Amino acid sequence: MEPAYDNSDFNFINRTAYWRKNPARGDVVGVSFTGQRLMLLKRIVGLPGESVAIIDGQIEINGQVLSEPYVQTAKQPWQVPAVHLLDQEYFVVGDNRDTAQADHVFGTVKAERMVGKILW
Amino acid sequence: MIVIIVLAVIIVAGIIFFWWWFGANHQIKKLLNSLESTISFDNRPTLIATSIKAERLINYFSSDVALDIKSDDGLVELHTTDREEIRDYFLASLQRVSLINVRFLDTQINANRGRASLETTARVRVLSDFGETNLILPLRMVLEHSSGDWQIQSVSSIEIIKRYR
Repeated sequence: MEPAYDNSDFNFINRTAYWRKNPARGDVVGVSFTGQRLMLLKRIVGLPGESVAIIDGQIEINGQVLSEPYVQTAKQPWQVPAVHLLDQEYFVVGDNRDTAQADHVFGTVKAERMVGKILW
Repeated sequence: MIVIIVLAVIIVAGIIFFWWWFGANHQIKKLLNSLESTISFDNRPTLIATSIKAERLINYFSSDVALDIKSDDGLVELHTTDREEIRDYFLASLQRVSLINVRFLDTQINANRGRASLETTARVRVLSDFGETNLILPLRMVLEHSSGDWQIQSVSSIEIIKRYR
């Protein structure tokens, strides 16, 4: 999630953030593996019902290019054909797009795996 | 009166301790801790120690076990329904690595009447001739309670984030 959040930094997550509202595009969320200790920080770019594609590293939502001012590294030419997100499915990705596509963990995640929104 | 109260507290504490100690959650966590110790080693074990570990490993799994494990990066891939094959896989791994450290973290257990399902994240550190490898493997296990012991009936990988390569 660099440069917004450094690796090995200590961050706080608001677990109540999505009690009364749904996750929004641009939110940085904690995605848990199986519990409370290990999780990934990812940014939501696609919402349920949307179609997400990545063309030459550029994210497109329903065919429209997504503006991503938080990405400050050169984007690698990732390619992902259009993915239609189902109910309770979000498309998450990190901000550090200078890594090879195969080395970067990104894709669709169920809402139940998102533990909350990052505070800082 | 005080003696009765103290006795009552001791009895209640004893009952709670009994339920906790012999409860499925505690027994399964003990099983996972034991499995961690069996799989892990700091230095390549001797031939005898290797044999003991391998034989011990089999007993964690039921005879009808099903393993379907694959790491995101493809470094670990194990699909079998034969627990002898698990032992062989383990023995083969020992030939290639000098250190394996396995820890099960964030274990969530759901036990009910002799069966249990759990989700856990295996953090695996391996040292081999090719260097150090660190893996995070989210796993789902199903266990059954038979003959007084819990045994693992199935282990499968959990896809936390569906990836697109």
